Amino acid sequence: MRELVIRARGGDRDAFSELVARSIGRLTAMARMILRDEYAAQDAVQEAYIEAWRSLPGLREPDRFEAWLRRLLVRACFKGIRRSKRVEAVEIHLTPAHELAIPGGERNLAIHDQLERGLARIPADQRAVVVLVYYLDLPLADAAQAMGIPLGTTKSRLNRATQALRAAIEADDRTPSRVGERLA
Amino acid sequence: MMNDRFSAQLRQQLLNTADERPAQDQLAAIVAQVAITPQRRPLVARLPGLQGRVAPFPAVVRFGLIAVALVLAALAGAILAGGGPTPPTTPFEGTWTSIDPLDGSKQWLFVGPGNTPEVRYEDEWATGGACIDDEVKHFIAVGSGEITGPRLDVSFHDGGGCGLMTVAVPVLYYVHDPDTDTLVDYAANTSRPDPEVVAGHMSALWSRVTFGTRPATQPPATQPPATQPSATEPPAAEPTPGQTPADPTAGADCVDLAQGGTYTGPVGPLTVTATVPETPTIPWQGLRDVFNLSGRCGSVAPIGFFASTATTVLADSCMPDSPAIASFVDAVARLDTPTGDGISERVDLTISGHPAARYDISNLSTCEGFGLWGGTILGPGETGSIYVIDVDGVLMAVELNRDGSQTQAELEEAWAIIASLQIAR
Repeated sequence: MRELVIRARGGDRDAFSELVARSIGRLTAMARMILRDEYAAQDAVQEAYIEAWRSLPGLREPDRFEAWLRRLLVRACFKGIRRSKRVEAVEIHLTPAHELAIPGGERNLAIHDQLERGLARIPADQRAVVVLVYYLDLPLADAAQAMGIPLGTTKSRLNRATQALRAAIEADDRTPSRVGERLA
Repeated sequence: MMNDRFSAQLRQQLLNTADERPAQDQLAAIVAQVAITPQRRPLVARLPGLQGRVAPFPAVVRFGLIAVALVLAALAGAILAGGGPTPPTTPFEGTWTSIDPLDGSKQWLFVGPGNTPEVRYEDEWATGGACIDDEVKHFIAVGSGEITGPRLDVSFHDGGGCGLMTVAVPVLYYVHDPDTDTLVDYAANTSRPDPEVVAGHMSALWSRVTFGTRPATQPPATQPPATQPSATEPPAAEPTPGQTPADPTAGADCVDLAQGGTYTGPVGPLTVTATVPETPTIPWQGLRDVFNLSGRCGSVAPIGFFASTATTVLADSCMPDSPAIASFVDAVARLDTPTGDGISERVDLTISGHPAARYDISNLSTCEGFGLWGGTILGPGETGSIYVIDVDGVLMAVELNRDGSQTQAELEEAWAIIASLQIAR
């Protein structure tokens, strides 16, 4: 990876293409999760890569390429949101329930639905932190760096996001018991 | 316990639903786009917005940067005090400024005396990879120069940076045009004995701010190049105040206007003159090198004007992205877009016979920055006004920044000064 970055930094387009091929899957998934809009996600990914190519000569440390690319992607996502003015009115792209193979039956399916709805409802900036921390498994400090915001802000965004998502699950927890009471 | 279970559920949810399949043909589309996209030169390779909002700087930071320039100006002033203005030893000696062609930020070049001068390069708004983690993206590189005829080669042996990281800076050279007294910079490929221009380099055009000065005790250059300006040539680009400073404490950096008078400063290709009424309520002082009129020399506090012309304009007034626009109509449309507490409706004006608009901001909370470009913008919590003026097609903006403590009389005085502006090309 490092060698590819160094070559790409020097203007080697083939090396850069290889870097794109290696990372586009993960970046696309990130963009889809943050933006919840397929076309906006594609735009953001493309924009991030083109910006990466143009600015690569300024990247001093090749080992930071992946972190740097994440930052470019997060930034491209927010640019896309602002451009389209769809910060809240995002298109909800739920994975169809029948496509899921989640062990645990109906209970897990219910949690899946609640989390999906919760993720769709929270603001994109909170969703981005969730994606960075829970999907990419980044430490909070790295997530803050990727977002370009202070650590404290990152923590508060994550806290608000998880509270909202937890509330969604807790609501789901209560519903079956009431149903159960009625059935009994 | 709940947190652990919840975290696991959330992580599993994201992993289960992550769709890592690229869209059809997306990889090919990116590769094709890369094939026709040039890379940026290393010195100024830009990673815009990587700190969330690279620009605009809060006014305090912005004027802090100006203060850095003032320190340098003060050094020049100290030299002046010793022996008065003296002709430069080379055509390069002095202070130069340019607009970065990539992101519209202002750049400075300080060239010392002699044929092997010390050279200091500064970029007020460096959005490059070198400053990726720096809060204040003020890039500085100090190098040594060598003049050969109309050409100045500069090697930045110690690299440069914004504080947290130092990066290598390529060898640059500057070519002086004696007819226009301007410089053009080029990147040189040092791997060849005879440096050549690196393909893709975006040159900047540098205009002179001040001529060089040197201590009176220093011997003159023994063999100045043929293109050296005449010793009697006036410092053309230096703003000329309409009134001799009355307050010696104002120093060389500012024109003292505590007793009123006129103040002239450069604003891009324009020259702007403001008239301060006699016995003003605010002891105004005006910076010599840029149009900055304030209650304290070189400061934004407690009240101050700062003017600039369009370079790269933000995509909207709450976002520091930058498709370039330079039209008054577009600028007004964008400033009209954000609404909310603390942002007034547009007030249409005429300034110096030109169409203008004013927006009053009070303790901005609606967005992260209200304005049009990096140099002229109000940040969160700030109070003031943004003016945009259509100067025969040149888009100019003036920021009035204040701390909110002004009396009505002081505000009316500030507005009267704005109304007095005379703008010339």
